[in-house]
Amino acid sequence: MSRFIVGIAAALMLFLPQVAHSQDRSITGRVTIQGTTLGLEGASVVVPSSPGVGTVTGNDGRFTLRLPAGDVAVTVRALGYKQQQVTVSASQATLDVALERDALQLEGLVITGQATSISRQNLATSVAVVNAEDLTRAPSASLEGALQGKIPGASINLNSGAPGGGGQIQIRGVTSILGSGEPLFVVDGVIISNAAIQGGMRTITSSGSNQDDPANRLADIDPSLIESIEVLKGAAASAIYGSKATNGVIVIKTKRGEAGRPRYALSQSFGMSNASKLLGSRRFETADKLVDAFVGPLAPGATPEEIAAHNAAAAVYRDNYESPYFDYQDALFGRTAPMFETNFSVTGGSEATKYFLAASHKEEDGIMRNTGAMRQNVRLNLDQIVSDKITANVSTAFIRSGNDRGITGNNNTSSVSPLYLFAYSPAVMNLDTQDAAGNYPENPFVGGGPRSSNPFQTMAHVRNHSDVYRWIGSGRLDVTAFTAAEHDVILSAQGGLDWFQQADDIYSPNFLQYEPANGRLGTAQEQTTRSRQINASLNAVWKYTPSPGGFLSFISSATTSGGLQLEERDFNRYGVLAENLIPGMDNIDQGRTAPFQNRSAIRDQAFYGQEELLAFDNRLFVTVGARAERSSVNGDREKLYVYPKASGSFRFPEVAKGVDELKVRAAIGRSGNQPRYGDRDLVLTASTQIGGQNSLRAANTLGNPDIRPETMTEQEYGIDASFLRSRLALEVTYFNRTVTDLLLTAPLPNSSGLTQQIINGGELSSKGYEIAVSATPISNDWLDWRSNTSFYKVKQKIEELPVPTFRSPSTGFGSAYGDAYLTEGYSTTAIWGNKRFEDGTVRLSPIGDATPDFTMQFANNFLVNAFTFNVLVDWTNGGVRSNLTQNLFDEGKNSWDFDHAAPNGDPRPLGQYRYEEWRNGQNAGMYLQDAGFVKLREISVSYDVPQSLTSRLGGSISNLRLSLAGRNLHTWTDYWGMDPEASNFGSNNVARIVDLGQYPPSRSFHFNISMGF
Amino acid sequence: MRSRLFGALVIASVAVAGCSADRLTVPNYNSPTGEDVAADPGALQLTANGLLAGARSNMGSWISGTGRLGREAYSYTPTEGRNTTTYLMGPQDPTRGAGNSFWTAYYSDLRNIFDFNNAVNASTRLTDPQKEAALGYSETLAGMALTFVVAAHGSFGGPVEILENPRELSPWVDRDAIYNAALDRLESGKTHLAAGGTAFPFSLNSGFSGFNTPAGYLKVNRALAARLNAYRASYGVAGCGAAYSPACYEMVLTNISESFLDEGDLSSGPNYIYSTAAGDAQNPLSNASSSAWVAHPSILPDAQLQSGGARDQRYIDKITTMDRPVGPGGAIPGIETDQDFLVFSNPEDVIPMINSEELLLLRAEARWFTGDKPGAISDLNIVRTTSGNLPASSLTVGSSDDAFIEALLYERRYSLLIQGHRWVDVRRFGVLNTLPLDVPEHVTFDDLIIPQSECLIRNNEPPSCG
Repeated sequence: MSRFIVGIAAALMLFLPQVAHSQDRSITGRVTIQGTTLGLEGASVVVPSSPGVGTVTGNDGRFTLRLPAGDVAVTVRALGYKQQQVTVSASQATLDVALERDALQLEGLVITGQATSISRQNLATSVAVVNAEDLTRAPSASLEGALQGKIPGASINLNSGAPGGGGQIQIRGVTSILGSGEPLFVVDGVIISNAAIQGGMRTITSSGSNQDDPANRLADIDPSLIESIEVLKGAAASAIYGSKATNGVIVIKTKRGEAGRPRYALSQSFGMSNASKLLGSRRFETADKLVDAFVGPLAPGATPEEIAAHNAAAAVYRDNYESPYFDYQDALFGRTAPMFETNFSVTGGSEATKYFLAASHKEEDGIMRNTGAMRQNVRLNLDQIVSDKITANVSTAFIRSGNDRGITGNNNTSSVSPLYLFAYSPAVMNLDTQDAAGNYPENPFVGGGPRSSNPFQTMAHVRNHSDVYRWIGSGRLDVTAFTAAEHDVILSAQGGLDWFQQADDIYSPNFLQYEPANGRLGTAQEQTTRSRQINASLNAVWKYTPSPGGFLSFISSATTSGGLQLEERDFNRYGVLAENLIPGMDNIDQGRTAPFQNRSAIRDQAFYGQEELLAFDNRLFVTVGARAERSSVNGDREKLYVYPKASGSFRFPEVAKGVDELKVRAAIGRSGNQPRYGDRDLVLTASTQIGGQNSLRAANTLGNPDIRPETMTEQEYGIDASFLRSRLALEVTYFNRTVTDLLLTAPLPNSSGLTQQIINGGELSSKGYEIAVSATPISNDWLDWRSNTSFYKVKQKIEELPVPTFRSPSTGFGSAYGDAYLTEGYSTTAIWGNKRFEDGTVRLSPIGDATPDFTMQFANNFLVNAFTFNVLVDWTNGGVRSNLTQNLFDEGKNSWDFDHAAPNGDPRPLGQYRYEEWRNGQNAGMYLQDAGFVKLREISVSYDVPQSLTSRLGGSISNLRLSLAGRNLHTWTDYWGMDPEASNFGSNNVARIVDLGQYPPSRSFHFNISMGF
Repeated sequence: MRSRLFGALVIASVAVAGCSADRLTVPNYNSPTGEDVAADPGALQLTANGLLAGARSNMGSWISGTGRLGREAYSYTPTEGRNTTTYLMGPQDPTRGAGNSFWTAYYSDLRNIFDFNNAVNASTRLTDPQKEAALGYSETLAGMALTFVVAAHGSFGGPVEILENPRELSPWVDRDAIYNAALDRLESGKTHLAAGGTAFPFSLNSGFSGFNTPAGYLKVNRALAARLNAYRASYGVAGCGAAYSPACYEMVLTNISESFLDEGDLSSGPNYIYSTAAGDAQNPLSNASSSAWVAHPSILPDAQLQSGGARDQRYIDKITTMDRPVGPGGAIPGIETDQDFLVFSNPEDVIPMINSEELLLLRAEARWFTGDKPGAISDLNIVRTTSGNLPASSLTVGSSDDAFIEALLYERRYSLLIQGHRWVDVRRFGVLNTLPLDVPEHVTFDDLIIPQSECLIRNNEPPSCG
């Protein structure tokens, strides 16, 4: 496969025109990290005076560059390092540059518009940048995991420990109740889908909607192919993306080609994961204790009939009692699961044509039996200088992802979900055994028969599989339309397509114990989802650079840009559910079938204009801009909604002794969030068939033909300072955002016959701080220690709500367990529940908040000669979780600490105490728990084998790195459940608070060897 | 230069075409809009079906909920304790369970009836008699829906009117006003049906065989009025005088005389039909739909004996004894049983909307309280003989009202087993305390509380909102 694409790339190159520059010499060189002998890969070496002349360093920091004659100024820069300018004299043939690490990350370019960017030094908004090295240090199930703890101002969580991903990124708090709550993801200019498609597990568990624990499609993106990630957090930065940018924009740039001979990189990882925490269950020392627990003791003086009845009820427990305890969870989730990942890339080309081709394959088993995930990526990025006025870039990726996630989470029918069953089934008989014919024993507990299940049998035979094929491609053409002394006009056309097809396949064979819990033997479902997203833009950029000496020469540059953008998003999910299957058959035509389909199509059009001014020796940077947008999802489809923005920054050099530079910045911007597809329509809905005919009823949710986008206005202020010759840097950002015209499913009185209506109204606020401190406590010849600490705190409030208190859609399980009830004047993420007051009355009251008090991250990096050590610690303080897992185990009289002593001298055993004091939901606080934690997210050590050794291995190896890494090795928490991050409903706008038997969390270890040649 | 101009023109025209507002017109692929439906002559049939599909769906949850409240049945969900505690132990949960579904679902029916009536009135295709027939069909269902709302929530009251603007709060009225509004809807249905010509402008399904013309359907309307008036009489609703006084029981007798009572076929009457066909609903009480649906153990010892010593024939026909007792699996003790339902065990079994057996028992009740005690005893005996194969009742004209009520409730319990009556009956005759409690912590409920969402939107003002 990969050789085929290399062939195509090579063939393409033959036909591409070569650029005729006046290049008459070639230099070679190496870029290293200052203070070390380590080569720096991926650094740009460019000649600012000759656009288009430049290269990127390859393995071990080496590069080759063709230069014009004479003395030439060369700029060398790399993300995370301070840039350097050197002059290459006319006779020089080699160039070695050592770049200093930039703890503050002040440098590098950050995008500010569709076709413009600015040096990070001048940036007026807080933009987090994560580079390739930070992303891939310790492999993770998906990109969310790789970003955890690395973006101040973002809360990033994985929904479960299932292999193959499934997580949520929320930036600067809640921005929407009903609209999208997730950031926009842009890969090489393509707005990609991050849909989390429910796979259909609920057809077996009857768990209701949004509880299938799906992977979101960000899981398809291979972190190893990413060059950098920019996170545009605030409205002023993200406004260029208009009405989908309220939640921030995550701009992903993949690696690109470097000129020169083909250079190859090969990386191989081996890893393993195992459960980081399992709960276990109650021990029953004797059969009598088991009977006492589940049937109750025989009352003294019982009549013979009562004794007989007691014995009959107790028989199932006595007859099946084998041992005090079998560790079911360890048996089902306890394995050490292997994983491996292979990455290969080749890059090369001429100055005019550069290519980057990579292929990767990753496979990981899950800790639960018969679960696992795989991902394959093939990426080809081409950069072509067509002429001195035209450049073209093409980026394409073909991706395949597969997933077997097993059965987990909520369960509304017989106990199909293994953890759910374990909560209720006393672990006193060996269920994990097979007879000679391969049959598992029937679980006699929890009602027995089809009301119960044997999870070992279930997981041996059930199928919950998904398969994704995806193509992401983009192209960009830049044309220098006009060049004069002070003026450059560039026209830029960009286009991108993200297409994927996801097939979900569910099969529950007839013979499983819990069949036919729903009355129909066996279940098979085939579901196909097709998603297509297209975006395209046309941009014109006029850059005015006044010549020195003129009356406008205080202006360094003024960049005016404008353009138009189009976007289309089509989504089509359809399938067939088959039940009452013919034995042994999993085809969907082998049973009673029910087809289903859901489609959507969204069209957006936008126009924008922007002015960026850099003045006073690059000290002042001012941007003003506006974007007007209309969309098919709005009530008024022709109306343009305008999102303006303005920002400015000023750098003061050496304001005091020891202060190198102080930058103050301020930004204000507005962005939007679209209504959902169909929110504008007043519809009827098909009800069941009756008497062989279709039927129609009013939809419970009333649409709104006047619906419009919600609007976020954000002010952001910040101070960036660097001290002691950049040994210490501080970045402080305060943001204050207000979302108005909220999209709400406002409750209607149920007595109106409808349940809710889509409306605009109300106001949310979100205010917070992000503080980042970067320091280089030690930097000498043998040790370089960099330390980054970040702090994030957000306070959110519902300032105004035009309707009475109501429950946020699918956040929790109502007032008995704690749920988000939106109430004017309260925290947006307040958790309300039934609370018992001293006078015995029970009222719905605020009993917690899902938002942590603050989060902090500590990243430390030590460079000792050829060794690099990294440690990343993630601290979340506070925030509550609705621990239904514990509630299930207590209700099942089966929690591991059931027999422990209850607090306050209460004579009841602890589990009984908790369950009874919960009072059937009248005291919701009992199972609402603090979910704060400290996690050792990443720890790694790597060793760069010195050239002197690698050369002995084979002349062609230019670098060789060995590393050991661990992820989520330890969690310090008082939380009772398995993982304080787990979320039964997956991603959730308002509060992800429900822990309900999710796939257990795991820790992983990795060994990696990577080499370049 | 010319090619550059050409290129610019191509780009400009693509841009203009791409930015045309026409491209923003996207249909709703997933649901028909109101305009789509209004334009379609076939839509009346579909919305008429929608009214019945709603009533059918509500019947299943009504029986399942009141069956548990009235100690006729258990539904075991061992891994969701609240499904048991909400019905047997309390406290009632204002966010889920019967209190919610017996509110939201019936008002949803009333909204659909409101929309249906508006569409009928606005129709330019229907003749006047067709409109009358259609309105008679829907108003009858409206009267039935209100009957269920008040039968469940009783003294807490509720709204009776659907307002055009769903955001407006419909006025809250008391129990009696709901009962009387239900009667008004049934009477309005009667008036419309009487003017409704010979045929409906849509077809009724096979469950209404014999009742599928306006004249036939009027008999169903009158049967529902008989049931409603009996409820009104037993509660002594405003306009009926004191509880059990004759005024409204006289109306019951009139209603029954205009209805379809057939003493020779006590099962006669309209039915909700179910099907295993894809897209249709199965009988929600059938074994195929719920393996956890079993009968309360008291049903065996309470069944009277036939002269040969066998149990009441209705018990034999409807109930079976399992080989061994079943229970919810340990987490919740004290609700084991060995009694299982034979009735409704097939997924295509019909569920009666109202039938002759109920009408006969309503007539017995009405006759007793209007003074025709021999007639009442005779009606009870028809049921005992025909359905139960039991000896005649020991009641005499000299028996006390309490004795009659006890005898009546026995017949109603076994004749109308698991049709959603027992919990209503023990409340309207003031003998809720006769329901058996399995363990001392269990309780019975007089009325179901108002749902939390309704409370919140009315600032917790309705009774029971606290």
